[in-house]
Amino acid sequence: MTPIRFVLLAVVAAGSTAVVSSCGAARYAAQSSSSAAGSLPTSAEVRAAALARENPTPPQFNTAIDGEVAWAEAQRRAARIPLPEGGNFNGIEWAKTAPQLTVRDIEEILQYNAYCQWLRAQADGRDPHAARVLAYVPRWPGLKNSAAQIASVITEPDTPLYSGAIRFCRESLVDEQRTARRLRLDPPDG
Amino acid sequence: MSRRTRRFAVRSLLPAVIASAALLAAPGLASADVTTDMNNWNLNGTASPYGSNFTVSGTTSNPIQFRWLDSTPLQTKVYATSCSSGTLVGVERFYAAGDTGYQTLHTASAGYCFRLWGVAYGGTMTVYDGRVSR
Repeated sequence: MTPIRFVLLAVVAAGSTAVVSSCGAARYAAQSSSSAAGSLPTSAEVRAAALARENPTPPQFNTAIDGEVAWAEAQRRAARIPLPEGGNFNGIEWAKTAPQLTVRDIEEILQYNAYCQWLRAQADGRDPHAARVLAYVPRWPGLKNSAAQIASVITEPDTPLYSGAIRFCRESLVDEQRTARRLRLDPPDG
Repeated sequence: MSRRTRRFAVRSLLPAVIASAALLAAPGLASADVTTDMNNWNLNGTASPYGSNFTVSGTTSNPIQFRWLDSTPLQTKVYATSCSSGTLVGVERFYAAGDTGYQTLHTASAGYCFRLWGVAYGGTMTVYDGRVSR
């Protein structure tokens, strides 16, 4: 990475933190950032912040799509969602999801799946920056339906709500790894 | 204890005893079950999700059950999908027109995140209310 790009990343991330400083999750982001004072934002954090600034998919994209089209759309939209090391979306079998998904539905599934991957990475201690990425998740445009609950989970880790969420995400991982192997794809690591 | 004091004590306790007995005798939902009313769900011939996600309550596991609160004019199908993979979980349940009884869609651990989808057969249903027990 060139020095200019490196500085640009830091500026973008600092700006993102300032923009979201009014909500609880953002306060958590600020705390997480200060606890790792001096460390520059990772690429995942910058991408998580960029995703948080996106607007929800407009209603005109809310028409149902099926099969191959859904798969292609998912591939395209997955590319901009940050994942922890070893993560992927290979455990989602688009042929077995609800029929006639909309683009909004696809985004919600992908972003919820990514949230689970970051939650597991944090719980397992696999990524020291996971908390900082998670802080942006409640503002991801595909997760408007779950934003309040996700914000509670990531800010209150010693609660039954958190235990339930991490249990769900771990159970989901087992299913996703099984699915990916059956589809002869690399399973998500953790 | 005088007869008068004893009578007063019995009268004081009576409402609590009756309430406890009523709770024990109540059929259907266990005390751990949480219900959420799903207002104004619009369904047609293609699968339509309800607006928000749900999570299974409690500390162990619970059934995910759905019922219509309104008497529906059409046959409907309701099913649940996992929030993180979009995969159908449990079984699809069919509700005949006018059926307002609970049916179990799936049983899952506490914290399990799911979305409910519905289909109406033979027409469109607008602003019908249902209830999920989870």
